[in-house]
Amino acid sequence: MSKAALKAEVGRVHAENDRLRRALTDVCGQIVCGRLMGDLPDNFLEQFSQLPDRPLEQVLRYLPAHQVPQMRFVSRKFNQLIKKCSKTMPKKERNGSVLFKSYDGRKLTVLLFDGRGCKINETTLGGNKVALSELLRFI
Amino acid sequence: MIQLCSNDDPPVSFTVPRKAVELSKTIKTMLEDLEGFDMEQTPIPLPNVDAPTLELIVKWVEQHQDDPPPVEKPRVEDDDSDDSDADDDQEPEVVIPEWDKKFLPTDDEQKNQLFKLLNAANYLEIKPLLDIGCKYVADKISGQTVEWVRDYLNMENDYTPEEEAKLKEEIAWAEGL
Repeated sequence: MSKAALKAEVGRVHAENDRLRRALTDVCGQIVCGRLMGDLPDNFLEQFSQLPDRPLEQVLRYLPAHQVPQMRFVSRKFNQLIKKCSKTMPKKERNGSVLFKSYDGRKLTVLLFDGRGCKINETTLGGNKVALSELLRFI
Repeated sequence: MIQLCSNDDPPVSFTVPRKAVELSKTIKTMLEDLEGFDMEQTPIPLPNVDAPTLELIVKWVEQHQDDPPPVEKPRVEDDDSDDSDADDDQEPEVVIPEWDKKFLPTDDEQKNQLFKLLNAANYLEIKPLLDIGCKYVADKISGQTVEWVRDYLNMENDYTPEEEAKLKEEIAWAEGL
């Protein structure tokens, strides 16, 4: 690297340093008696009244399976979590279809068809004890 | 004995037997890493936990310090980079013990306290407490309407009407289930 280029680089780093120092002063000005004053970041308070993702996923896994599809309407985040829980599951073929043959008491029979209407799979799931993941593989 | 400090100003500190506090995997790991330091004299600050929540946590770990340790299953990490192992991820049946039923803040006006407790149990990695708390919430919202769940979990409906209609179409197969 030439001397001039090196000089330019040093100048750039100095400027960056000054900028960061100014930014730090701005933040320090907001701290009064160890507390951050001024506008709190968005959703700062919400985080304490909402469950973080991991417990929410766990809640979802304990839900009765037949309630889960409805729960996708709760909010986008909820929907994403439900989808995330099923992320590793084999998905229904794009043009295939799923049929619930019967829902008898605690047993659910599911038929899976491919695009041409051929039956691929038939599975029986056990009522409320069905893990969410079991059901989600059909969504 | 170990001292834990809440995030309040000034912090509120609780003195807890080491055995009880080690129910928190987060703190247990921390104490192991700091082996050799005199941790009896060093309060541990918990930046995510306020005093009422910490009080509940302390109560719970003291009550459960003599429980037999839960059977450790290798935990599948959340990032799910490996697609092969999630299929047999059947949730074990969770039963909330009588003492815990009385312990959990279950009145509707204490809802946010319950969520704070679960937040803290998550952060401190107290799995049995997290399990029963999540089970309680799941039982609570089980069988409820979408609106009810939204309200209970402090969530906003952030769908556009178009998105909502599209979703409805997507899950039409589940009708009558």
